[in-house]
Amino acid sequence: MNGGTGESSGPSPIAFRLEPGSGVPTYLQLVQQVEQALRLGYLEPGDQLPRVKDVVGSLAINPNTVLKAYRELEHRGLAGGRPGQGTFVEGTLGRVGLPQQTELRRALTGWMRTATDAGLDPDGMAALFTAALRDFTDSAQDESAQGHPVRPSRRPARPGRRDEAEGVA
Amino acid sequence: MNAIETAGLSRRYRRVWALRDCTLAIPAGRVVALVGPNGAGKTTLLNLAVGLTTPTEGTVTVLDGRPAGSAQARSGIAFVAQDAPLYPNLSVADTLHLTRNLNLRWDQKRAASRLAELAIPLDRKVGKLSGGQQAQLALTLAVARLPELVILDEPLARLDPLARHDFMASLMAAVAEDGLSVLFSSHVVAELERVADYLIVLSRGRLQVAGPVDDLVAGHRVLTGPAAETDLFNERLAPLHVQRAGAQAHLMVRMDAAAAIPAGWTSTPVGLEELVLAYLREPDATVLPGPATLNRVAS
Amino acid sequence: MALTGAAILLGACAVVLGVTGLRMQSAHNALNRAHCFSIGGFNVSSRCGQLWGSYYHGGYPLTSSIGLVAAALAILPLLIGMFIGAPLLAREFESGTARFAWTQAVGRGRWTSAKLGLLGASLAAAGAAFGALAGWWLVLADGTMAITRWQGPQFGLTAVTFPGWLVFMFAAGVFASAAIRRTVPAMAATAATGAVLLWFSAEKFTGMLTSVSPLHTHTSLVPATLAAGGDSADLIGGNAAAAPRGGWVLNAWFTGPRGRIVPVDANTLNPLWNLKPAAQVSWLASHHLTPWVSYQSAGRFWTFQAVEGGAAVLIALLLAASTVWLVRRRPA
Repeated sequence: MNGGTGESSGPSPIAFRLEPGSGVPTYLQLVQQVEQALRLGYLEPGDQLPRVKDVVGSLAINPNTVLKAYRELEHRGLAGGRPGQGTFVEGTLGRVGLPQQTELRRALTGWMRTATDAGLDPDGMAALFTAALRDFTDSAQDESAQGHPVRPSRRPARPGRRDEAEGVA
Repeated sequence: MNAIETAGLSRRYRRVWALRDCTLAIPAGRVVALVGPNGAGKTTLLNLAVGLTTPTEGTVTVLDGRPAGSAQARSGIAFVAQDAPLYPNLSVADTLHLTRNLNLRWDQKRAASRLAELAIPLDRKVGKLSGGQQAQLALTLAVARLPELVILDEPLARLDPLARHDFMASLMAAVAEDGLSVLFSSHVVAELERVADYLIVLSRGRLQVAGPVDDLVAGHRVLTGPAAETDLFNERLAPLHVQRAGAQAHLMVRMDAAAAIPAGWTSTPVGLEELVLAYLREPDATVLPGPATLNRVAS
Repeated sequence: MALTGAAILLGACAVVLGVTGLRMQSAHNALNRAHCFSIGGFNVSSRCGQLWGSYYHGGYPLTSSIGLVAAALAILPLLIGMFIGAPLLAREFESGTARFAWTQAVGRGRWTSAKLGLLGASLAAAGAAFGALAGWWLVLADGTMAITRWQGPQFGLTAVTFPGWLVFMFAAGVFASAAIRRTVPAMAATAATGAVLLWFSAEKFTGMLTSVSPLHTHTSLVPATLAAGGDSADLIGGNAAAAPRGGWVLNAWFTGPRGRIVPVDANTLNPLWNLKPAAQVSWLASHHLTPWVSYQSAGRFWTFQAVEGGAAVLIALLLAASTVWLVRRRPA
């Protein structure tokens, strides 16, 4: 309540923190931290997410931002609200299988060699990748807006920048 | 329900118009940031809303049509003036007692427990508290009145970064607990994005921007492309802000992400701070998004 | 803080008045004043006057400065107006607490009325208590012939007029506070207004008040100052001794055999001063002289007090109402 971010606040196994300079919208930072905690095993189904009041009291952010993040997690099938109690973890994060990951990585390394041969340095590669990813997510959003979802989870319709930001991260 | 509604609201001090022709409808349940340079009319607007000042022209009502400054309006609004003025010679306990007697609704337990959490001693004189503690005390008094709307004039201006964070955390916790509406003025733009979900920009006594933060951010893009082609946009999009170099130009325009962009140009989203600064830089910008036009953009 | 200061000041003054008053009281008792006033209610016995004076001057050094003490006390309301009234709202404007207080649910009108009413009533109560003490002291001091309770700043020091002045100066200070909104200028305005009114009251108002239809009476005794040249201003100036007990002589003159006013040379009266009162009467009869005085009787003192005190309270109420009106009407 008095802003001590170091103490555990409330009944949740995790606590949020913010990176003000990251450019990632606050609500998305919360969503990503829950996803990260799921991936790393800090959170399991049945665990309670930090209460809105506690998050707000320690991070000094708008409560609607927290509610928006929790709604987003519900949309993604990762969490659910229990009236009068709070929001709890309900799903697990679909992981990409390890062999599949290795294969994707190998393809990307191959692309990097090609790029180096063409005279591109690592920063140039990163810029190119970011721009391409942005185009990709933008077109994905357009398709989803036309009723062809490209992802299993429903995304919010509006905030373009947020999707991109997540894609970059 | 609207927290505050104004129509043609104007206030003149002698020859100078502090606020001119301001028409607003701020929905309830929002955390509203009122932004503008010093002397833009922020304090005047807030004073009008709490009834400390009377309009020269126009009307202002609060909490669904209660005339500003009326008894019903006062009981529903808690106001924390700039620098959180309190009686320095009263102890904290006496200040609570006084405020309790000045109000019909009062939650003593809430006030006492909040002060205990903040480690503010009840027997200390208010004048001996730190700036941050005084601000927190003023906020405690405001929240303990169980208002529907809390109005704060430059609550962060004199606080150090830690006190700012703690103050905003307290305020946001109160919003989460009670669902109250908040209207606060600030000339610090950087920290607004975390707390505000509705933005009003005043400049030179006139309303420049008013709308939900999400809609505002979604309704503006920065277009980057060849400087030579900048003129193409001047008529069609009336850029809010143009940053132009020899070859490249950045234009801030009102358009959403789905809008078509000419070949050779890229469209990037804007942050709230960037957007506010752009408006503040161009106080005479002909693009004046009133609430109605913004709704159109948001749809 | 100003309140504490005022309380300390009033308390200190009360202690001084109490101590000196008790000493005057004992001197008074020792003199058997009844004897001094035994002849027709007129205190003109030279023997009695000497005795009186010797008691006071010998045992009581403050006597010579009684007038000064009374004048200092009469300034108290002005100080209250300056240091409690004038800052009351002005300081709220300057420090911004008005913006706190005026936006609470009770509202600025009731807040201001409550402050005015509470402080005004406390001042009135304290003033009445203090005025009762000062009034008792003045009656005793009256006998020293240094001052009269009828006139000058002393008239404003009773249980009726003192609270009146306190409340009035307080209300004037608060009104200046609401109108000017800055502490120091409001204090200056209060001080200036108060000083003018105190002066007017001391020099003119009581004079006007007490010349309202004075009583005339035939007296068997000659007022002392009349003998020195018949200057009535001297009488008004302080010779309470010539008045019927507790009353106040405004003028004195002689009439001749046909009932017409006759001028009397001071030297003519010289033989009188060595005679006993009874012999004085026959001396005057043999010279066909009848001494007269016009005066206000002791009974009218409280009527005049009520008029001045009532006027002060009435104006104070008007000022308070104007203050609330100003506060309600003007933006913060």
